[in-house]
Amino acid sequence: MTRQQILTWTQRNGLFFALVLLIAIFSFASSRFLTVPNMTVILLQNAVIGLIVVPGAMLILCGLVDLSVGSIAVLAAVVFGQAMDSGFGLPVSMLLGLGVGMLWGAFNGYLIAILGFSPIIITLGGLAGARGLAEFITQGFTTYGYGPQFALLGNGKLLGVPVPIILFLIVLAIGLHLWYRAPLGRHMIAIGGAKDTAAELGIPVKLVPFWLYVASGLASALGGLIVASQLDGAAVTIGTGMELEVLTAILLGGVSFTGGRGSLFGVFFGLLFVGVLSNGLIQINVSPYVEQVAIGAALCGAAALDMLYQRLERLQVPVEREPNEPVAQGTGGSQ
Amino acid sequence: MGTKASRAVTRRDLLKMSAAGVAVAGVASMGLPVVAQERKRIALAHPDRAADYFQGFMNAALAEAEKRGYDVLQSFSGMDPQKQLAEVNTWLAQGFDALIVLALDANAMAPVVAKVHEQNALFISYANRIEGEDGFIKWADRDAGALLGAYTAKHIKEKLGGGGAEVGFLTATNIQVVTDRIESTREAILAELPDTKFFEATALNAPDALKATQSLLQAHPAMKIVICCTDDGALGARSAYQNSGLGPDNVLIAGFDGAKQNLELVKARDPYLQVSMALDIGDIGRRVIDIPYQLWNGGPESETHVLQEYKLVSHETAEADIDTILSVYS
Amino acid sequence: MNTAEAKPAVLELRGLSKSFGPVHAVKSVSLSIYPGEVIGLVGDNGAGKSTLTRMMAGTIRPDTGDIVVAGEKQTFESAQDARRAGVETVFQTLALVPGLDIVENIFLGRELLASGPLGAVTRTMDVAAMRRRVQEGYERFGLGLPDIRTKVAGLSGGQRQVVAIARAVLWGSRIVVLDEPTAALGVKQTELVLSFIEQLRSHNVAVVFISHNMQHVMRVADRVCVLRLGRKVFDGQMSALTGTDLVALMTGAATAVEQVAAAG
Repeated sequence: MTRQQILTWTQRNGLFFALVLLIAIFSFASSRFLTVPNMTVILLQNAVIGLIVVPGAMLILCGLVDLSVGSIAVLAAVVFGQAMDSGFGLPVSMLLGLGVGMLWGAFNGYLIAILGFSPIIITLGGLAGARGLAEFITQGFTTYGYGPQFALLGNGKLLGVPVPIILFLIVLAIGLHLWYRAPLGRHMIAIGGAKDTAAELGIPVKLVPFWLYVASGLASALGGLIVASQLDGAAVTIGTGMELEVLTAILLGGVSFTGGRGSLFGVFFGLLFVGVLSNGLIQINVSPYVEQVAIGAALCGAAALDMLYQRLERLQVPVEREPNEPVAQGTGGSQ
Repeated sequence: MGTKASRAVTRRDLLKMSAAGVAVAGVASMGLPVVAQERKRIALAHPDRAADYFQGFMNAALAEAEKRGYDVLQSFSGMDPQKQLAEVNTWLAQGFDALIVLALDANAMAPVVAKVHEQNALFISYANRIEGEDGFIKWADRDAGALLGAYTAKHIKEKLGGGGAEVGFLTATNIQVVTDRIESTREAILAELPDTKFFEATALNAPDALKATQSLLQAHPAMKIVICCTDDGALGARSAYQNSGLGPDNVLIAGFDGAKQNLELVKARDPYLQVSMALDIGDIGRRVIDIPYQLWNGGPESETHVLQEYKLVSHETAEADIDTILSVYS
Repeated sequence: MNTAEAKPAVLELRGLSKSFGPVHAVKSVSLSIYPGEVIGLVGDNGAGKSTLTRMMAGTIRPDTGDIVVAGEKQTFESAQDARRAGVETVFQTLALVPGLDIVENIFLGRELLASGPLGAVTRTMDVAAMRRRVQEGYERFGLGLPDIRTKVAGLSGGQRQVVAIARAVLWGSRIVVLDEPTAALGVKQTELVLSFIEQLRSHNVAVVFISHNMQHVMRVADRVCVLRLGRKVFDGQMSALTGTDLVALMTGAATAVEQVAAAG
């Protein structure tokens, strides 16, 4: 194998094997780790982040980002809670919660995808703004106690599988289909990697990101409602730090932050990696500091691999394909 | 109740107080009506706006400020020590007459005291204490931990058959108030039951506490006790127990703060969430404004150096007493 | 190629003019292009080549004059209009996405969906059909390209140029406009592109070949059109000219009348 092949292989599969290694270590350290109940708990703990990660990864593939996810989640939960308190009833209250998330997503999408504002600035504004609005709405008084029907969303089970996991798997399946089997996947790579070309070829370079922001807002709102259901209360702390958890899973999964390259399978493994790490470290009763350090190290490793991979791809491939080619010719010949 | 339990602590900065008094007198004697009538600005660095008790706290503080004719600068920095420091520095640049701060990081806040004094303003700390402060309202976190530890030990002895019990702590390692609460609880339990096993995870709020407790319960299904550094976290731990498939038998979940939902659950004798270490939020809110007033007007030390005790609210607490504490939320 | 000229013109430019403010970039240029013919479009800098190219590509609209494709008058509002009418322009930027492979690039923006409700409802692509069609194209045109699933990022400049041209042809365009396809390419890469262009002639595709390089034009063009200061100064068979003649026409050292007389 050439150095380039090794790197390509590592970049594609490294995370998967790191995950397997991690699971092996924890299984060795704790007999209760590798059990069906604990694996279910790990999936359950990451189902909400997972829901939001799917549209989030698509946005990053397009070269965009949504930092407002956690704040949209809490805003949706709070709006739901207030609606329940005001006697709107469960279906209407849930629709209001989800609607406010979609609306905020559409607002993000309009400003960023249609008008061309900076995604970081607009969604950073949303990060502060949506949470501030949620705090303003509650005035410090958390609503709680929504009854057994709503509790099914976060705590119910279908054929023994917790509802949040089922919702996550549905969203993941839709995401995988769009990413790999529908034209959208290629279009997102084109938008993120060569936007002008994509536009020239008639790809809707504004509408695709717009709808992704709407999807991200909707997924965040759904996540917020699930957590509110699990806690049976619209705590103002819902979604705190969620944007970073979402970004960590996506970037660990090898989606390039500049857009145009990445795999949703990788993102899924990134999500599991973080979930397994925090669950496992609690299981073996290791200092909470270690979790942060381990995730940080894994992210740096992923970033380094990504950079090496990109450089090798640029430098070596053309030369390798045509060994007789004079060095100064072709696009890849010179540094 | 906290008010009655408050007691004076000897330590006072008479010099600063008299300096402030001279300044006030000086301005008054110069007879400049505009300056003399200017309302005093009190910067109130209370970080956790998301806490359930926040509104009760802020209502009491604003009512007191209205009574004294002070303007209040409110904090929006959140639970990040760095941001809190940045916010305080912004206030310093704008100027104020007194700073009341719940320091998330006491060491980082220490140098601020000198800067505040340079501006002839007062530095008042609450929750914990900072060297050089002019006045304080200290939460008796370690006393509360001792109380809760003793209560937990009793629970272990009576319900869980004594030794070898498993106790989970949900805490955060970088906030001193929180570490004081948890460490003192641990010490008090160990003092009575040295063979108790402790498991620790990071969680300050309900969603994180839910996940952490889920993980803890997978590893230690026999764990019956979870002590959370905040009441919000206790709610998350309760959700985890409720949906774990494990019964509520002899479970004890405890938290700190005296938040509304937690107090109501204890009052309703919830089988999981049985304890909240409650602060008298209304009294704290009133005092953060009253302490600068007392300092400017030569009040007694008992009103400027205050140790605020927690009250252990449990299933043994009478409903009427819980209602008294809850009244701050209405 | 007299045999080609017997057929009706596949693309006709009739009296195209374009001004940018006081600058008359193209002045009343007419040109007929026939199937199976490679026509070289040459001229010095500022002669109006790129303006004429962009009018054919649909990215700018002529002030006056008509573009007629296969006997039908067309108004191009955008590059998509031109493409839809069957005129495909390959600019130097190539419009390829490096992160996608050859098949994905060739079908980018017009992916084939699975037949029936599967494609219509779920937007599932027919990946196998797309690969098959590209593979067929490889065989039909004898493309010397790497495997169809190679990422464009891994291709050389000449290979990328061939992919961009092949995309136009595979999509059934009968008229391909190539804007400086050999600029910035090495000897071997140039050869790859030129031999592919020669292949196209036998598949009845009309090629407009825009280039600075006289040798390349003389190598592949059947006919040549020379622009100078926005006007067409020569339009005739390549075989009648030498390189020196071409340069003389481009620089204005000779006029078309003299050339034709000399050639005649």
